[in-house]
Amino acid sequence: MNVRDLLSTNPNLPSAAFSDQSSSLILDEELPIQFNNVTVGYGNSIVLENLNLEITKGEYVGIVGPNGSGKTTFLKTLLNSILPISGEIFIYGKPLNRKIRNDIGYVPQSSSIPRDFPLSVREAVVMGRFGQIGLLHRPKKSDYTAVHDALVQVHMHGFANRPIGHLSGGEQQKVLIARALARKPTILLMDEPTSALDFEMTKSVFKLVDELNKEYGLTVIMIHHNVSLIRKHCQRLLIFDGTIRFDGLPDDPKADKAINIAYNFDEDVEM
Amino acid sequence: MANLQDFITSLQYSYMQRAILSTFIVGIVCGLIGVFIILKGMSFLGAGIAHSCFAGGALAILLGIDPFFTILIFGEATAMIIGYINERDSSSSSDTAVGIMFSLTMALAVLFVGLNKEYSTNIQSLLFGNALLITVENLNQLIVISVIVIVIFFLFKKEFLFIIFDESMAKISGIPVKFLNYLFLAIIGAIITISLRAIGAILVFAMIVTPAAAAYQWTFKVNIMLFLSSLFGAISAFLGMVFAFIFDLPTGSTIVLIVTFIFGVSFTFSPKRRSHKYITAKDQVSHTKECRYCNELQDEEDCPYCEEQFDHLHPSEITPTEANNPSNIETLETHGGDVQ
Repeated sequence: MNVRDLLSTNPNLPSAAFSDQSSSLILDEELPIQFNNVTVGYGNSIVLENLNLEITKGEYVGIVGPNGSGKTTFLKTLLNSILPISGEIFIYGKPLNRKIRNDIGYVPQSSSIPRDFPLSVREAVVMGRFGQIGLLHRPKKSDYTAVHDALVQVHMHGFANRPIGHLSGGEQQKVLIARALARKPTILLMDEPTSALDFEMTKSVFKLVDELNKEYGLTVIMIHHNVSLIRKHCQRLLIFDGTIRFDGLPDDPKADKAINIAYNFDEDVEM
Repeated sequence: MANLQDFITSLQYSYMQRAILSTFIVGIVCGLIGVFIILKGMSFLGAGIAHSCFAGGALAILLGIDPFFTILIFGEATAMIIGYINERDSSSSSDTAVGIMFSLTMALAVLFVGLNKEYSTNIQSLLFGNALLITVENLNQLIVISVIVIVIFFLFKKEFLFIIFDESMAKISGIPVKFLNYLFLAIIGAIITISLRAIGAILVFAMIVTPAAAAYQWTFKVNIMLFLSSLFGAISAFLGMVFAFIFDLPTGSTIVLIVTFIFGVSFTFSPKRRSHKYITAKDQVSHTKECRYCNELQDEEDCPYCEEQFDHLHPSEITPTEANNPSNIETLETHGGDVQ
């Protein structure tokens, strides 16, 4: 089943606009992300082929797929770290460029920060604004206000003066989310943000992301390896396998089949 | 053996003034840059570049020319080559490139020294330094390059720190990471070049790493660490000169002995290391052991921060505007917190 079929059978699908290769893209300034026939790769090897995708404002999109399926490449393309071989990407109706990147916040995979690293939470979060502050300039009061707001959003404002290495893995990850929020993005890209966290910490990060999506209206695109967990939280599920194998509601039974094919599972495995 | 009075008397001589001023500047500049070198985990880099500078100096002695420019060229070229190898081959450790350049330039240095048929005392002073031989011209070069390096360092301090903390994120944020990485290496090359005459190729490495490592023991704030590292560098440079004069010892090695002693004291009395006794590796997974509020509630297994089943705010959740609320004041007074 393709996305159009899905739309015809399920009117409640969050995203209402999809295009295929044959149709011409209608640019929409209200749409945070539009991919038009985008092919991405490294050298001669193509990782993602002919991506056509539109993501609407406030959507919470979960991306799953086996290793090498193009999930991270997809995010890197959105971050302008990799240029597409062909096709176009539009952010709010405008071609993706360096300036528009300010609309996008990025949260990397969780990694441990050395305990003694001489950096406070506030100093770590203000780094999220360095791209906007520019070279040779110091952070101003407005930047620190944005830092405070971001820390409030992730409930970490009381930790502002603490050394970041003293926080738990989950708290550090919340600080990295705050760093992404400090640039006041409307789109939040997250690449396996809980990969190094235990279950309790993972739960608390997911809870926070739900809150950011619902209360602050952030468009969230999250890559995650835990298929059942991401299905529980996201509003729309993308299954990657060199291209988009499935695009639809996370509880759609057809997603199971797509997952089984993408991951080469036996048919009776349910996620 | 001289005494302190003799040392004070000796300060009237210009060569002593130059020696003290030059080692003092070297201590400050090496201390500053050393902080970012150890945070970047590239301690070995200083040794690699310093030995390549020695090769440059040996070549200059062989050719009978002023060593300043050959030392500078060798130092900067080595720094750039290390940067290039690291950029192109991210799979290898940064020390791999340093190790390759280290052995190559040492081989060149031995070659240049071997080709020199006459023994030169300059070779020894390049290796171990002699601040008392510093000329007015050397001092002027040292001051000019130090000022340039310090200005560049503070202009890009925030970006350097961002790259050290999270290079991929810095790149994504639009920071010119590649340019700044090369600039940082160029700064290191320049500092080592100007430090060579005062403390020598072998000992300059210690002046870069040791004051910063000592400062690291005392603080969690990078600005304080920069200050302490420069201070330790400057103090050890001055005291090293004093002891070298009084006990008639080589200046470079005396300075390094003093700075190593400062590191030993810092390491022994480090508040960070003492706090480790109470905060074990297991505890690092949670803030609760450090937070008195959570700690007291842990036994009841209803930590409000985790479960949100509580009638008043956790200290960490009290904003400045909420801090005036009587119940919040009580929470803060009772349990502490980092409220701004």
